[in-house]
Amino acid sequence: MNPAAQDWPPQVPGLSTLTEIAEARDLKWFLARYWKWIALCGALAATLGVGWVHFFPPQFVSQATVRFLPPQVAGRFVNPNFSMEVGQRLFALSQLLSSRLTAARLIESFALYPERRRFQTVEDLTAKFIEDLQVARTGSAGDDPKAVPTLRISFAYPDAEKAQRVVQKLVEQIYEENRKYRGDQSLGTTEFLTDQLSAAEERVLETEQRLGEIQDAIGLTVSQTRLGQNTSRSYVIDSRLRDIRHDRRQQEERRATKRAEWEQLELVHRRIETRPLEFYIPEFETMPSYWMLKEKVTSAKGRWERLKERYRDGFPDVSSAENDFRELEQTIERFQKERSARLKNRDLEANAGRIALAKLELQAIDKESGEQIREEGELRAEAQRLREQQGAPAGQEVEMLVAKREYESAKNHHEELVRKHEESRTASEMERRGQGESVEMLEPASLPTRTALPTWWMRIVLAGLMGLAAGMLACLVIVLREPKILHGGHLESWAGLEVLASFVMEDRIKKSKAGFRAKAATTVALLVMLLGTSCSEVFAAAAELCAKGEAAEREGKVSAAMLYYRRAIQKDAKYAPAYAAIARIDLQLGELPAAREALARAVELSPTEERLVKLLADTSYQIYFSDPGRPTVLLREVESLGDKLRGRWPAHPDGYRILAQVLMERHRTEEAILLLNDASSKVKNNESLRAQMAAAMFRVGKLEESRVVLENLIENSPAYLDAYDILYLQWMQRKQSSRAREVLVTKWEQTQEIESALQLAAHDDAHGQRDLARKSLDALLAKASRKVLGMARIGDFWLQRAEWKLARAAYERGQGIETGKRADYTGRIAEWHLAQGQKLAARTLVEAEFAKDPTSILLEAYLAAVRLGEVPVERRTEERKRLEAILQRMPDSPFVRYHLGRAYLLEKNWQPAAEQFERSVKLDANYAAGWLALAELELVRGNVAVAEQRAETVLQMNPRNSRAMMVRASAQARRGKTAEAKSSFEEVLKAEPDNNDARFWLAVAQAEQGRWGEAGKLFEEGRTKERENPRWVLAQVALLTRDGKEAEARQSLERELDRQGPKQELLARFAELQIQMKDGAGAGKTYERLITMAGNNLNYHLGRAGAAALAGDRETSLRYYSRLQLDHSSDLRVWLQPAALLGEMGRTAEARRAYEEVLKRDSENAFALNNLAWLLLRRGEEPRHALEYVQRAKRTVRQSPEVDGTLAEAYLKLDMNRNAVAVYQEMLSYLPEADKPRVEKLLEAARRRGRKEGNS
Amino acid sequence: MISQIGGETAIPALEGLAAIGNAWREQAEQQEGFEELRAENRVRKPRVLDMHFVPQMKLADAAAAFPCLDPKYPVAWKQQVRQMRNRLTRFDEEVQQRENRGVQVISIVSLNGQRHRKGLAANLGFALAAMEATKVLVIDAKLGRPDLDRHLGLSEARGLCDATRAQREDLPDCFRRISGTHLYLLPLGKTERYDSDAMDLRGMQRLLEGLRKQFDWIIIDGPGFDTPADAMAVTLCADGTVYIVEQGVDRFSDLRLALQQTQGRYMIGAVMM
Repeated sequence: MNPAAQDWPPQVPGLSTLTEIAEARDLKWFLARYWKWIALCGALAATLGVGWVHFFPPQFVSQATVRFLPPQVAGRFVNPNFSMEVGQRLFALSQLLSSRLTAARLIESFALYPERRRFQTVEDLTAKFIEDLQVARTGSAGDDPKAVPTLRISFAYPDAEKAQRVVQKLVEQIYEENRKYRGDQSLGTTEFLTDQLSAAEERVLETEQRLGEIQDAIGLTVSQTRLGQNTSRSYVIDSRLRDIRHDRRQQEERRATKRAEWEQLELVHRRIETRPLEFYIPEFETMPSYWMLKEKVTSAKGRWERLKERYRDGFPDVSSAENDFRELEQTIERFQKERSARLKNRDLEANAGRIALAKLELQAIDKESGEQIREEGELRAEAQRLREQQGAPAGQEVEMLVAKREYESAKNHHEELVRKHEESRTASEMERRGQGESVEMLEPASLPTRTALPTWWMRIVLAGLMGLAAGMLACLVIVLREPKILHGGHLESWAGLEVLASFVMEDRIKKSKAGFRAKAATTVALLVMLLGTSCSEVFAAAAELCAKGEAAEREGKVSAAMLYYRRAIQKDAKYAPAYAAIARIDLQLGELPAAREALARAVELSPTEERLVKLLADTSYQIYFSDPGRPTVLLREVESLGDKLRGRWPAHPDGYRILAQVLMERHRTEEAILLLNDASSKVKNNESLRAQMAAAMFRVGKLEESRVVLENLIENSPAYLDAYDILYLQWMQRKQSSRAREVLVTKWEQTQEIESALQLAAHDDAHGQRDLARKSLDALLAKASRKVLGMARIGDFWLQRAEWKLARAAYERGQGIETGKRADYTGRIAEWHLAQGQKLAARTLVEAEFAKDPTSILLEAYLAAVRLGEVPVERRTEERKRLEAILQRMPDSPFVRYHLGRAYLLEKNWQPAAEQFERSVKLDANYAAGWLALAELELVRGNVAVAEQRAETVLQMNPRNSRAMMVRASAQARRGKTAEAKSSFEEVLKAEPDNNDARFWLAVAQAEQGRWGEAGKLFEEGRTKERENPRWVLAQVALLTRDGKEAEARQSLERELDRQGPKQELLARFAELQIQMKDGAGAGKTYERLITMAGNNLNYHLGRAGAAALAGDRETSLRYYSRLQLDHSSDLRVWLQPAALLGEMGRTAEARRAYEEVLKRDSENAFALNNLAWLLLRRGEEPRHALEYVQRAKRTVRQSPEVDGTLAEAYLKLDMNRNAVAVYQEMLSYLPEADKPRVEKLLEAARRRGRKEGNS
Repeated sequence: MISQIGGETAIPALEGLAAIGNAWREQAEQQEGFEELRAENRVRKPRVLDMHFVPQMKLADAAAAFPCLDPKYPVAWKQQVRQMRNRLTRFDEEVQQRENRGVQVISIVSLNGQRHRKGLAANLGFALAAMEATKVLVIDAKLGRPDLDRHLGLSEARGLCDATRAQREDLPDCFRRISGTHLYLLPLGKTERYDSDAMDLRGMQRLLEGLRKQFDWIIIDGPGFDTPADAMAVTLCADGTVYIVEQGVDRFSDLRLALQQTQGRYMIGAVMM
């Protein structure tokens, strides 16, 4: 067969062959042929994607970063190895945050995964939560010691706000855990030290006991005190002798050295003396006199030689010349000798000096040595004497010394531990107060605006694409299973067949193409329309909701407006105007942090809006300024915003102003001044900058320059009010109130505003010139009547100053003029009534007005407020709810908030009451009622310092506010500032002479200062003024009892009881007095009367039982107690009192049982412990147990003669006489003089006993 | 060169075809009983068509058989028909030059006989006949789906079935000539008369042997390979085969089967539908 025919026809093409023969148009055919199927698969997959999005919605990832700052507390009580420690704790924190417990708690708290929770339990969902939570450690301390340990927490959840809240909660948990951990750490150290301290105490006691025992064993002939002194002295002597011996050894060495040195010097001296003069050759060359002599000798010699040549020998001139020459020669020889001798002498003198010095040193050493020898001798003698005195054997002496040393050492150790313990406790406190290692939030929990990838549309697209791919693949498989001939190219490529002609229905293809295109275009158009419609609906909805919110805001429905804005954000999370509106409302409500948050979001979304950036910067600065901690993070943020404002809007003043504020806050005022000065030249409307510059100048002491700037500013821009205020404050600070007043007058003349006039009037009033203030406001009246609520402002001014008539006149005038504001004026008149205590009048007025205008929310609020104090207790909740409903409509009204706070207060719901009061003063810082309520509330809650501060705030507004004065005085009294409290109460009494509370507390303050007479007078005065109030009599009785006049006190009480009848307070005091006067029978009767009046009062029952015992009817008393033990078994008194009675009766076993019952309920009850120990000691049983009990009691009660007495007794029983002596000595240190002799006798007895035992 | 057979050996198509034809003949001659057939063939005389007795009909009456005459017929398709005619003519010339015998009888077969062929054979015949002095016979051999007699309105007339068995005198009645042209048509006729085998293969061969001398081109519009026996019979009678392939519908496997069954004849080319 032909080989060609063998391969013919070719095989059906497989994938590889098809790939070879395939052309681009094949794909086209493929798509045209299968597009429906592929599209169907894509659509199905996209539907699945929608399902994916629905059931597994895209998640928002909120994240926060915190870092750990090193502690500010000394590292000795908290672990100093910060980096390592933090590394470990970061790991522990990560574990904690990712724990199932935390997960379950957060899932429950935030109601996470609501859909899944229908089918799964919280426990099952914790795994999902942990999966969504990421806790990453960065900047770990392990690698780089300088790296700041940082923790990044992120949580992914479909609801952005919830994700943020979860992260916030986790951050809070980190803060809390850190605080607790550090607290625990330092507390642990404290506890450890406490244990150590206890051990050291025990050690001291042990060594002390041992020392005592040794001393007792030695049997000293001197007293124990003497023995201790001797022992101590011996110890000192030994120590000194050791030192002396050591010193003497050193001195011997020094002396030997010095002596050798001296001998050497003597030798040198002798050598110098025997040395010939020739040894010393002076430096003649440098001596002019030598040269002159030499010259003379030479000339004389020359003359002699010349004359000798000229004349014969013996010629007088020759002889004379020779003589001269000889004389000069001798002279120069003498000169040389003299000079050499001088040098030798100098050496001799120097050496002699050294020898003398050495001699002196030797003498000094000898003297010192002698003294030491003498001292050593004395000490040895004294030691000998002490030993002789003690007469103890050498072995015991050593033992005693060792014991003494141990005692000293233990005592030192104990003292050291006490000091450390105190420091550690302080450190713990510091830790608790947040001064320890702290956590700083680098990045707060973010509110994510974008979902984590893939977003919802990405998911749908991805699913669609995957569906398309799957569809294509499936269709491809179908095609490949039975490949088809798609065009002539296939024939030519595959079989080599020529295509002779082609009758393909091109028109049909075109038609189908056109159809496909039309369909695709329609689909795309529909999709675009759908998207466009939905998007436009979203935007339209957000804008629409915002508009509705604005409308509601205009109508004063702030809550509704807030709701609309929030819904607008729900519709479109990126709608900046909604955030800005929320911030605006928050600012109105004084919610600065919330406003800042909303503004930050608004600025993020709309960074080009200058107003928002400026507002954010100002709000952040306000928060910074109102935080006493002055958080630097906020200041940095303000700085960056200022930079942003300056950079983007350089011609506007705000950026410069904010930056200057930041600089001033950083105490770089000079730089701030330069900046403001520079900015003033760049910016057109620069009044604020110039005013700020003046303020900065004032701060750095440039007073005059500041004044000039401000005066120029006022002259050039008289409408700029801040300049007046700053100048006014500056003059006030410079204590020139007249100049300050001039500024206010100028302001008033320039502006003619009510505010200015009120400011001027307030100034005059504060300076005691109320008439001037009245004149200012009278001048204002005509203008004020034209302003909205102008008269109300004037009325408020007078109302705050208790000028009732003026206030009422202003209100009534305003009511007549402003008919549209009748409700406001009516409310104010009602307040006027309330301020004077005329509640009924206030209610009647408001009710009448409300009947006329039942739609007025303001009147409704007033009505609820005036009714609040009058309604019965059961209807208070109703009134409170009414006020809460009104608050929903008037959330920015300080008045409503104040009265709502009152409602909470009446329900004794302190916390919400405090919140409402605080909100009211936040909304209006001059709202005196709010401040006063806060002050009173703080006083009730025990925050006396804060109460005093709040009261001061009220008094700054109105110095005559007697309630504020009263609060301040009470707070001062409770803070122990008795003198100040006394003067404050006196002020109150001066303002309100009938204020009996003030009188009473003033008397108490007087009594506390020891002025009993004045206190008594005040009590008497109060008694005459307030006859029905028993407190005066009771106070007088207390005074009489104090003076020991019990009988007089009793008579007084009896008289009062006759006059007032059987009042409980009086009867109770009377019964106490009877007990005090040992009138058991009388007291019993009185208590019987009291029990008939108040049968549930345990005190009366206890009193009756006690009275019965006092009257001698002990069995009856015990019966009473038995009954009480059944009914009030948790009260310790029903056990303690019969136990004491039983002990007294000698029924010690029963007494012991009763005390043990007490200890079951309170294991550290000192009273029971002491008495139980005493009982045991009296019975002579278990002295060790007794000691244990009484030592426990001693730990609780440090200085109690009863406990100490028992303790000493226990020591004596255990033959620990020395300890007993120590306890008696301690008692002597604190007991009053009257009690001392008894203890001294006991002390002496204990000493004697100790000595006897020692001798034996 | 029209096409290639066997990519590996790269034998030119015509040479390849000749080689395949010879091999097939040799093989056939060696088969048992073939001598008898040859002897019979030698004895049988070719049938001769008395062309002047062939009934004529007007082109207008036969217009339905020629879609290209329809004004709505796409111009591009007309071009395709003419292109096909030209290619066949060239192919014939090439073969004649090489083998001294041209490709005179062409069978047109499809891979599926049930599909519409858009009057391809008639159009081609018309186009060939349009050439100068070219006698063309178009035979409708679509046993499963004949359409020529219907188009010509000859429902009861004789056709190919009869012609393969007819005597000389009866033969012209089976044909129709389009008056004024050299185009002759041979419809299928009544197949019902010959239940077992509508087309007598030997008669067909004899007929074609005679007609070869009388016509320049004989176009056999054959059945599809869905009836492979009929299709193969037609292709055996022809010198070369043209395959109708419906693109996007016909599979490679179908074509492979067709090619397998038409070995030994010129595979002239394919027409895409």
